[in-house]
Amino acid sequence: MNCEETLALLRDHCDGALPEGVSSAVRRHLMACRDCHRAERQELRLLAVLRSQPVVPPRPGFAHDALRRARRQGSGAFPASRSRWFVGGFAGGLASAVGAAAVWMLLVVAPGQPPGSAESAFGTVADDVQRVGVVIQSPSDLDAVTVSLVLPEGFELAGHPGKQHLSWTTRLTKGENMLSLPIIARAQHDDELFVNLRHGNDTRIFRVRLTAPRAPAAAAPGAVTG
Amino acid sequence: MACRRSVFETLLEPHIPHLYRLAFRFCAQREDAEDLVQELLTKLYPRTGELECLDRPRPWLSRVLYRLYVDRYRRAVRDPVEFFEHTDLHPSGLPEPDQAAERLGLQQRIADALNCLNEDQRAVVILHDIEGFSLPEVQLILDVPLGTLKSRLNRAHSRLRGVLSDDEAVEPSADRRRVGI
Repeated sequence: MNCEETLALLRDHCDGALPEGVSSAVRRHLMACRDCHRAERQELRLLAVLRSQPVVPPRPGFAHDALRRARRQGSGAFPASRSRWFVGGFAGGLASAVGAAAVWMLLVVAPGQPPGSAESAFGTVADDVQRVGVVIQSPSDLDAVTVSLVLPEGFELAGHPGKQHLSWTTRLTKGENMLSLPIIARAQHDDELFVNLRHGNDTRIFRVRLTAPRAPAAAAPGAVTG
Repeated sequence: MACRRSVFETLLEPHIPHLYRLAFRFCAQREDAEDLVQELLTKLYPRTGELECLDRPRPWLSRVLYRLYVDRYRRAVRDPVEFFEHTDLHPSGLPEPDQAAERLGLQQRIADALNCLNEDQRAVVILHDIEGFSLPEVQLILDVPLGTLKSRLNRAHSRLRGVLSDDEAVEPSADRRRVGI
């Protein structure tokens, strides 16, 4: 068995999905070929990292509550509860609880920076994905917060190619909430990202400077204004 | 009715941990994952009789969950950002540099790379590589030919391996990481 044949069968070999005779041939080649052995180790390492991706556990009692609710709703005894999927608005009472006195603070956080300096830095996380971190200080738990991003030309959010405007609904908890924005920078110039946070009648718009990656060793600091 | 409730719970309860985990893989948010599982259970309750006849319920349930995800959620903008509800802030109000560096470890980079895959590739990686379904089972869940699945896996792995290569190429050091938290 040659390298090309071995590499074509490598994933099935790692899955244990090959017939014994073929699997033996692959194993013999891997023992003899350093390059293919390295490819096998990369594949196994990738699978190990993927399988170790953490899962945030559900809230306590979720299974019991979900089954009970399914019984009630499925039998027609109770109407389907409004889930987040169908939220078109939010409780006015909650909005009024926040009121005009809500204070939104948006800080772009970089390590080693003194408090109040509000600078941004790109963190390399993958070949072309960089992370911009923002901390949002919320005065209380808030549901149905609309987050809108307006990205400059040459920058995009990972997973949403070609989109300069993005909007979604999320929730904030009282205190610090950290946003981690996976930004793909294709531009060679610095620019600004606008982050719009809206809850009820309370809206704040922040500008976050995006710094195009320079040489791998350094990243120029940016600034946020809001 | 009491007998039917008992049958429903007996059939579904053992699968809820897996269904939630799968929902979380797709949605990446706890609340969305809980909502997705809730929607699934509500839909399945009237079909309790059908569930009793399933020989291997796990792939079937996963298929229904995935279809629900595609129909109800994939069309909306998936919340692309990560919220950490409990930040490790030191008294000055900013994370320690080492803590920030740890957050952007290999797992985070792989998670980011997963988010960069298109949805078809991402679904195959989640089901096969992460959740351990065999390719024939993934074929059943996604209703996609085996050759297409292998092709999607190859492209996805090629991209994801790039992240590992980058990690192996440099010395592990907090100083070398340009961290944006």
